[in-house]
Amino acid sequence: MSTQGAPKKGKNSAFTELLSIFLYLDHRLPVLEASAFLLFSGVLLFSSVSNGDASSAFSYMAGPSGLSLTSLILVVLILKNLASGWGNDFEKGTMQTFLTYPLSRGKVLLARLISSLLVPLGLLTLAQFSVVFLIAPGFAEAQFGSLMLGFLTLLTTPLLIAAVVLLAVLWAKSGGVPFAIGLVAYFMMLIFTAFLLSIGYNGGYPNLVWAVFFLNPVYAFSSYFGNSGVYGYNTPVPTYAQAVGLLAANLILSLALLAVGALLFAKRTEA
Amino acid sequence: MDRSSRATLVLRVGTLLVAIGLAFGLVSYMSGLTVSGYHGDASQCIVFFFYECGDVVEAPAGTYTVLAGWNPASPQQMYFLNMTSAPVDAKVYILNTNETAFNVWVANKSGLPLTNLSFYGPQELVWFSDYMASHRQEVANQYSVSGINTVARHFVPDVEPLMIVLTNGNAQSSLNFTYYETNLSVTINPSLGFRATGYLAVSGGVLAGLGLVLKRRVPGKRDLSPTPPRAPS
Repeated sequence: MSTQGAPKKGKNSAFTELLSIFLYLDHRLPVLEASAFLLFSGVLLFSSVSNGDASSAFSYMAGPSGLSLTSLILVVLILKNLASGWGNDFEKGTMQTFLTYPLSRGKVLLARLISSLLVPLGLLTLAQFSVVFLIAPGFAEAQFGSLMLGFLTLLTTPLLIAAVVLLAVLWAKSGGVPFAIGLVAYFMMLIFTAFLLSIGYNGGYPNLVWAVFFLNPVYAFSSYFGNSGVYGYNTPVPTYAQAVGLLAANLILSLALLAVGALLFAKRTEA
Repeated sequence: MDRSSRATLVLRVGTLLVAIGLAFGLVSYMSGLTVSGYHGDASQCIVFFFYECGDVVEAPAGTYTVLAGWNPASPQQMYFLNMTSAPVDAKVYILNTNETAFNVWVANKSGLPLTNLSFYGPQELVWFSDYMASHRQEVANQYSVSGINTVARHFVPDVEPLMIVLTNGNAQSSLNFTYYETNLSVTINPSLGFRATGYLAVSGGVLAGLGLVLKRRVPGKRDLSPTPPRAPS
């Protein structure tokens, strides 16, 4: 019995050890502290509640276009951790050392994703929710559903960028190129979707508008709530169910891309 | 998890709490002092506060112009409630924001509402009196009749601490203060923010200190990474 239990314990401790190494590498003092400071300051300074309804709760979380300061900080952290960190592990050969741990490749990646993605996401969750519960507890309780919806919408762009960067790292096996790809993808999301939306509205291309709604569901919700700079003739206005569906589809796409990346890494035999 | 990792974890949680506390402190400090975007003579503005619902504020000596609310059509424009003959011992009562219409009440120390309150702004729409202050729903209805969106929309239950500006200007000079245009997105109440800063900084500092002590007490840790001896020059 004891011999059967021993390897399991060893694997668990190996996972914990690897995770602590990744946590140390990704969040050295004072990177995590500076990120927390910026995230909390960003939420306190730039997230506002203009009235007490659901659209206000959504705007508090996601901002007018979902590309708020908090989203930017999250993307920078993801790029730093995944592209620079994970990519440089491939480039410098540190990955070989990590793969010597008695763990499957999938678990090595899981440890890395927990450190690189979940910790910044946890910090963002803490910032967004603790601030609103601190300054407006009644409002936060009343609009908790809309706050959650806004929060999930806020995550769409960073998660999509994370998935793209992970695939780029596995393809390039370096840090620089995925970092550049992630940065370009983010600014494409920032500028290009707004540009496409404008073309879609003014040129009368409803399908283009729906495509932008899918890529950046904040626009869909903003159009639904009628509180953004979404103007134009023949403006498609999604129903609530459609907006939620677009959000779900976007999140599924991001998670599917992350899963593809994980599978590619797990199946590969060489580092 | 070994003792060294535990010590590091305690230390990092502590420094993280301190960093979050500093963010609250910085933003609270900015909330308390910001007068940016002021349209008018900013030099006459002596105090710029955020208050919590239910706060009773001792007004400093002088004659005051009190900010009463926002332009319902454009929430970034704020109106001032002019109080031309305010007694020196005036108090400003900030009532529950979970109500319709404007909810500031200026009263003297015995709690009697002051009657000579005029409310003016770019559109000169509102005349406030103690009657209106005590019949807020009717005030809200008047707004609706005037074709303005309901005021209540811009007063969030529990969210917006009413912002009040006390100036040392007299009635004439306060005419310059037709409206205040600023960013209302700073939602933290400084006193609340500073309390959060205090709690976070103290608990974080204690944890960080504890983490440092624990790290120093990890046995044999220093021996594992000896400093190589320097080569003689």
